[in-house]
Amino acid sequence: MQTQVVKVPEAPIYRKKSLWAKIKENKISYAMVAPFMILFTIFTVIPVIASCVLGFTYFNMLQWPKWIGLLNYQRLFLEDDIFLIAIKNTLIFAFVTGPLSYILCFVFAWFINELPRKLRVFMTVVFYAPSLAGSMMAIWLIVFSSDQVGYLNAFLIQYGFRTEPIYWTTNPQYMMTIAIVVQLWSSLGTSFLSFIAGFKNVDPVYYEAGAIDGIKNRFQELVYITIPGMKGIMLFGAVMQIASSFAVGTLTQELFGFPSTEYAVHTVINHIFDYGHVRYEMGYASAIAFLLTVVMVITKNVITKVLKPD
Amino acid sequence: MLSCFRKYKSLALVMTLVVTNVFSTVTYCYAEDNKVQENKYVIPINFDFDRTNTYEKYLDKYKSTPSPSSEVIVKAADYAATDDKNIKISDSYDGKNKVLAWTSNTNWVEWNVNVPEAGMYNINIGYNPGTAAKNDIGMKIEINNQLPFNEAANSVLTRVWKDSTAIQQDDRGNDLKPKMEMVSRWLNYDLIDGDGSYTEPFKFYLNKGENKIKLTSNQETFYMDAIKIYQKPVDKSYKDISAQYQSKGYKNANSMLQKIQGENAYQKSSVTLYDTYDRSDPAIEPSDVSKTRINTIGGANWKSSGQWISWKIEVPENGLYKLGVKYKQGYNTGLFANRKLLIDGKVPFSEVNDIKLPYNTEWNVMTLGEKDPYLFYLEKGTHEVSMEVTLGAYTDMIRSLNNCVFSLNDMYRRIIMISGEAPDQYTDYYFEKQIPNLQKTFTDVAVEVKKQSAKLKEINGKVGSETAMLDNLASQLESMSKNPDTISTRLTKYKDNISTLSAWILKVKEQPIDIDYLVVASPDSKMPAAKASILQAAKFSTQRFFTSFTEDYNIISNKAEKDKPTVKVWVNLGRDQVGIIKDMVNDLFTPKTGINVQLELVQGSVIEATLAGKGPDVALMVGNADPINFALRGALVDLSTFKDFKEVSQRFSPSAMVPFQFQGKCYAIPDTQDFNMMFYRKDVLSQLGLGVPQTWDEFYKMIPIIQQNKMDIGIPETLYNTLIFQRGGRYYKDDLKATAFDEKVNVDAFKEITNLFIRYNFNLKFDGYTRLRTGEMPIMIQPYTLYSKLSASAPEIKGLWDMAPIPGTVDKDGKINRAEEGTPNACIMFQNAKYKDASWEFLKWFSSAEVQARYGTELESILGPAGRYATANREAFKQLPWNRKEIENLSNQWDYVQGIPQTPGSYYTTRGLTNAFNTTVNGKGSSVENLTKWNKDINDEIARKFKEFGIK
Repeated sequence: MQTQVVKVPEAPIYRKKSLWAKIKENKISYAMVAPFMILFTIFTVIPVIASCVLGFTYFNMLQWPKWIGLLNYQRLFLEDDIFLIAIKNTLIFAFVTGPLSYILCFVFAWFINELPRKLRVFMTVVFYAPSLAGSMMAIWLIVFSSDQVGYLNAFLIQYGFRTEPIYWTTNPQYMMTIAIVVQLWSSLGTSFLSFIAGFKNVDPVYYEAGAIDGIKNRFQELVYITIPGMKGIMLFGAVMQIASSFAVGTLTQELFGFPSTEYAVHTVINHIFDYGHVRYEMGYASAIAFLLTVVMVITKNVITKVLKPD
Repeated sequence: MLSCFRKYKSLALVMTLVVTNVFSTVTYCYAEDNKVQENKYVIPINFDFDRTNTYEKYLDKYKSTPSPSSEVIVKAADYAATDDKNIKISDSYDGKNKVLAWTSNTNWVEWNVNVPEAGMYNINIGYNPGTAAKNDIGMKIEINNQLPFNEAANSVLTRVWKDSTAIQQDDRGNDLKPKMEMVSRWLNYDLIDGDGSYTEPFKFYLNKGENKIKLTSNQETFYMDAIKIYQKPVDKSYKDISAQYQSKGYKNANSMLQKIQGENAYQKSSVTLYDTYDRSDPAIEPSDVSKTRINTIGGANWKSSGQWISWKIEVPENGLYKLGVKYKQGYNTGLFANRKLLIDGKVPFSEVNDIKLPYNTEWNVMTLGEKDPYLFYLEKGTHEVSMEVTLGAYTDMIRSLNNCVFSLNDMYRRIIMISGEAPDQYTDYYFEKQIPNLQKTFTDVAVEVKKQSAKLKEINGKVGSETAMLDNLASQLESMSKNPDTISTRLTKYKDNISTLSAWILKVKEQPIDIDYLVVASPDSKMPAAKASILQAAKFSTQRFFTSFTEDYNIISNKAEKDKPTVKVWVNLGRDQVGIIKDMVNDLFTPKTGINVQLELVQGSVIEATLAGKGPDVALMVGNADPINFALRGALVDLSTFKDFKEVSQRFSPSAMVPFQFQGKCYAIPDTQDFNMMFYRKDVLSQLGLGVPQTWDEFYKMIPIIQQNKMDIGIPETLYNTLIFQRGGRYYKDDLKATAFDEKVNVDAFKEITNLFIRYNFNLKFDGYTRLRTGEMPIMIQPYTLYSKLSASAPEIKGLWDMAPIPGTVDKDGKINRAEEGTPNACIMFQNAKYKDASWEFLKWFSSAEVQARYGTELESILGPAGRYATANREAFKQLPWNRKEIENLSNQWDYVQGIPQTPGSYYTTRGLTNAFNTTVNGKGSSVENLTKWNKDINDEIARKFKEFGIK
């Protein structure tokens, strides 16, 4: 008997290509991202992982870290009163200056976009410069100097509003307001620039079409064409502004000294600095830093959800 | 916020109305009413308030007195009286016999001089600075028991320095600055104003017959040969001299040109006139593309009048020569630098008394006499050519403007005594009625300023921003004098004008130039070109660009020698400072000990570096809290384990060691120590009838008087520590395990200090330097380093202010306890240092008196007196250029200085105290309440840290 061997055609094997093979296939693309990825890994990914690990240790910068489990987190949530102040201040920055500066960025970018070209370039520099020049904070030190010849004090005394100088930078009554003002001033940064670019990116065809379809004024143009047209950039701006508000720290330190009076403008970043560089408790500082990272990632996701582009 | 402004504005309006009505009755408040006489410790101030005793007025008084030509010479050894019982007469010194040896024990010496005719005389002192001490000799002259005029106390006799080595190179091929040493040399000094306010030597009136001449020095060591009373001959003009040449038949020299390099100077008057280098142009001799070549002299240091540099020139034959100088004066925009030329110690003719070197940022070759060169007769052989800084044509102008600034400042102070610093815009204070001579002073000063502006135009030959500044001031003064009711609104501008003027005067008084070389040439030779051709310059800069890739300019230390221990030292300072330390290591340390030192200039990050294993062996100038912080984590070596630690620690005041000690161990030695002193304005206080307070009670009594006169008092908030220490309190108890802020002394001290700020509204923040200058704060407590800053850069109040120990508390035995806090910086050694003994050698060497004094002196030669080094070494402190009185004052205070210990968590002490202080001053809660609250936090943190480190 002859058995007929039916040759079943071999099912095509969807063999997973090895990662290596994939990389080989797209080697040019990988080569192009490599410089960034290497730096990103070294200076961002590894430190984040390291701080996550160090968060579970006692580490004083000079001796080898000692594993202490969740003790740092326990102390952070249950014992540290100042951490609560820091959280409060950071949230104020994140949810007051964040959205405010976001709106400001957008509004200024819109205004500037309407200007003739040469003036526009000039104004862009004027608004962007503060965020470039980090140590320009010094100007505010003179304005809010507690000395009676500080600009604001001198003005108030000169015009008879006051007879004695106000201690702007050591009186908690004024400190938060000043911090917010200065933060807003210096926050017209990357997102502001990207908004300006975004405005330029919207295809003029839409505006012509809009005009035909009955758009009456510039505001309608903005709401119906420009904003939908640059949703991606709007999202990017939001993430950048809120994230940078979470990271306020050097500003308060430079303006109000470290630590600020009664911790009035003590932010989470200041708190990290305090433990990392003053008390040399790097383990604890890492725990705080890791927590801040987690909160920022969550916030980012929430923002993305809310402003989700199509 | 807005509503708050509105509230204040209405308040301000009401105030204005009230004030306007009240003001017609306002007068000065003097101390008499307050019975300050009761204060038994106050030191009264004697102050020549109207400047009645100036040399100008003295000359005026004697203007018709003749200047007789008789000459009297008195040997110094024939003195009549002195305060130094052990004063010695050296039989011979450097070629002269029977000379008087002044030492640090000699304060004054007096001579009787028999003068044949009454009249005006110059007085000349024949002296030899010797080589024993380094500071310049200050000299005061009194005639017949009287200071003839104030400036007679300002004479300065310089010492003589020279390069003691040739220019050598380090192992990288860079030139090293030659070392300098003092030289013994007999000099003749006509008593003259040491500030350069007069170009001619002083003339003194002497009676016929016997006169007593008394010289008082600042107790420096030098030799004195004779005093000569004579008429200084008047310099002839070039016209007369050249007529003389003709009558004597002098001939021009032939085809000869010789350059004398500036850096090869023969002698100089100060250790700060060291050789310098300039690598900006290939034509500077010598130059090199990549290596440092010492090729110039002078620079920013050669600026104060009286400083001189001399060179030796050699000419081949008798004859007439011309002289030239290659110089750069890139310092004083729009102004001249002035130099006086001397050949063999004499001014050849009056024209070279004042050689004007105009401003130019490029190198220039100037032939003396310009287009029609001056000819100098030089005999065959060597001659000494010297150039001396003089204010030249600016002299009278500066003196007159200084007087203007003085009167304007005086007026300003009188005005703010009535209206305060920020007068109300809408009030007429009637200044002209309350201040006598207000309008007249303004008009007089305006006239004077205009006159000087015209003169400046004439000297400079053009109108510049300087003359504009003077004209502005003059027109403001005129208009304020005409409309005194506008003074209150223009006060700020007025003050700014004064400070601009005084800053400008200060600038003009400095006359720096760089010199590349001098040229002596026969009249027929052509002077060399100052600059390289474009081609050469292009080649030079291209080469420099390419060598910049191979030459490392950041390495401060020499290459290390193998087989010898190397100590790696991090220094938290500027490049200049590190350069000085490096030179000293090369000169003094490595050759003697065979230890290599690798100096690195690093700011911060010691901890991170140590963690990475890249840290130093030794770090200098570390903050005073760091040593204990690092040591607790096992990073530092306990220095007290070294055998000779005890001897080394004797060098410092015990208070400087306190912050570095913990549980019987010591982790650092101090390099600097700063503490507070009291600064005050003599003129203002004496005007108010106040003296220098010695106790806090006296101090408090002054406050209302000063504040009623619309001035203020400057007090640092750290005064808290002072009060604690003066009352016998302490910072920590129980072996540093807890703070002592719950003890009554401390609570009281804290209450007192916060009360000062609340009750008297003292400013928390102020710039002491400016406020003392303007007189707005006539008395203040500030770090003693302010002294150097004031003496270096506030010329308009020279002699108007002084420094004293801070007020104290009288203890049971009636003694005044002036205790206060001193803050040291530290030198530390790390556990992972490979050669601990070598590192210790280095630390010992660096903190020794000799090295600290030299470091301080050299630092000052670069940064000027404003950069005076606050060494912690008490022996070295005495060798820095403080005068005797200042040393006494500072040492007196230093004996009372205490240190604040550091303990685990002590960063929280400062934090807690600052918070408690600010909260109280901001008006939230009582001082006791706040102190107690924060004290708890501080103690919690300390306890936590003690637990962390497991310290029992």
